[in-house]
Amino acid sequence: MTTELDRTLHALRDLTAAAARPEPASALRVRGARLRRRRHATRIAAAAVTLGLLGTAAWAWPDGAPAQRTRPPVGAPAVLTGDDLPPLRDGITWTPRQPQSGKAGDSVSALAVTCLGELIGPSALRNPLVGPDVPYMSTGFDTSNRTARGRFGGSMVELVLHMSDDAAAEALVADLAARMGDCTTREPTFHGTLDDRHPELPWWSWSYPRDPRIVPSFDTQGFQGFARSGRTVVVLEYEGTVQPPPAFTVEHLRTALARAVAGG
Amino acid sequence: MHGGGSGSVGPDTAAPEQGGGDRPQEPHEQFDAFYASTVRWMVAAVYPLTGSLADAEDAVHEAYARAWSRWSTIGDGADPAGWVRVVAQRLAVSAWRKARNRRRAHERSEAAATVPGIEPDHVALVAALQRLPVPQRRVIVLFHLLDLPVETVAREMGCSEGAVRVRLTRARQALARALGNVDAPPEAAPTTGLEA
Repeated sequence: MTTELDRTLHALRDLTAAAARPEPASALRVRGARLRRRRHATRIAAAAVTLGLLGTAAWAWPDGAPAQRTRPPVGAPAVLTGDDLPPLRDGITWTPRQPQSGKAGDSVSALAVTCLGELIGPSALRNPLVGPDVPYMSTGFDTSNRTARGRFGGSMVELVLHMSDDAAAEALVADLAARMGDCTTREPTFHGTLDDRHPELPWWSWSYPRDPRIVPSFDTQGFQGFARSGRTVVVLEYEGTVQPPPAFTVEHLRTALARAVAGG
Repeated sequence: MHGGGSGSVGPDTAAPEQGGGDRPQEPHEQFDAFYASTVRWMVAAVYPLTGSLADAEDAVHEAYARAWSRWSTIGDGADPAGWVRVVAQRLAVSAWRKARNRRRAHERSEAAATVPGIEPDHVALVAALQRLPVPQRRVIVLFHLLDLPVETVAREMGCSEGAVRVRLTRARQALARALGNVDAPPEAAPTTGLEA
C-alpha cells in the first residue's frame, strides 16, 4: 500500500506541477508589498495603544498579590534558557529552536505534545478554549544529535499563552490537564504518571513504548506540565529517546511560569 | 526515500542564492528565482489538500505574496520553501473548510479532473484524500508526496513525531479502505509508529 501510494502520489504531483498556472512573480511582489504596508500600519497603531496602556495600568499580578509597576530587568529572559535545562550526557548538547510568536490564529506550528498533539496542536492552538486572537510565544531546544531519521533524540518545547482573563487561563489549564489524563485511555500503550504534590502545577512523567510490529518506532519518554498565573498559561514538554532522559522536574515548570509572568 | 531536507519541495528546489554571477542578487531577483524554481511543486503539494487546482493556485500565490512581504527575514532563513509550504497549506485548508459545506462530493471529484492528464486512479485518490481529516491529509502529502522525514513533518505540523506516525497509520488505513485495498490493516491496528 505504501509503495503504491507513493507511486500514485508522485505521478499526481508531476502532473499537477506541469499543469500549474503560476502568476507572474512581479504581481505577487506587488501584493506582498501591499501586505507589508498594511502590517506596518497595524503595528504602529498597536504600539500606540500599548504605550497608552502602560501609562495607566499596573502589571496584573495573580492571586491577590499587590499590583506592581516593576518591569523585569532589561535583558532578563522571559522563557527558559539553555542554562536552565538539565544536563545531557557527553556528546549531546541543547540547540535552541527558532522562537515563534504571534496570535494563535496565525500560528503555523507551535508545539509538540505527545498524545495531546492532535488536541492542542496548530496546533497548540486549536484547543477550543484558545481563541484566534490569543497571543502566544513558543520556544524550545532540541538535542544536538536529532538530525537523522531513525535517531530521534529529544525536544523541549515551552509555550506561553496570554489568555483574555484569569478565568480563561484557569479553564485552559484544567482542560489540558484533563486531556493529558485521558491520554492513557486514548493511547493504551501510553503510560503517564501525575506528580500531584503541587496541584497548581500538574506535572507528568510519561513513557510511550515502541511497538514491535511497527518499524521504525521508538521508545520515548517525556515530561509534560501546565501552569498558569493570572491570565498567563505555560505549557512545558519534553519528549525524546535520549537515555537517561534529561532530568526535567516540576521546578522547570515553576521557573518557566515565573519568567513568563515577569516577562509580561 | 523520505530523507529530504525540510526545504525539499521538488527537484528544482533551492534556497534563494545570495549571489550569482558578477554581482549579488537583489532581493527581488532572489525572490523571483526562488518563485520560479518552487512554485509548480508548491501547487503540487497543495492540490491534494484541496482537490481543486484553482484553489491550490490561489493559496500558493497568496503564500508567496506573504513571503515577499517579509522577505528580509524569510529570504535569509534556512528554509523559505518550508515557510511558503506551511502557509500555503494552511491557507488552502482554511479555504477548503469554508467551502466544504457548500460543495457536494461530485463537484470535488470534477474539480480533481481539472488537472490535464489525470488518470482515474488519481481522481479516486484525490477524492479519498478529501474525505480524510485535515491533519491526516497533510501528513500524507508531506510524508508521501514530498518525501519529508517524520521529524520535519512533525515540526511543520506543530505536533510530535508520535502524532505524525499515528496520523500516517490512520490515514493509510482510511485510504486503503477507500481505494479498495483488501490488505489494509484493521482500524484497531496499533498507531504509535510507522508501518513497515
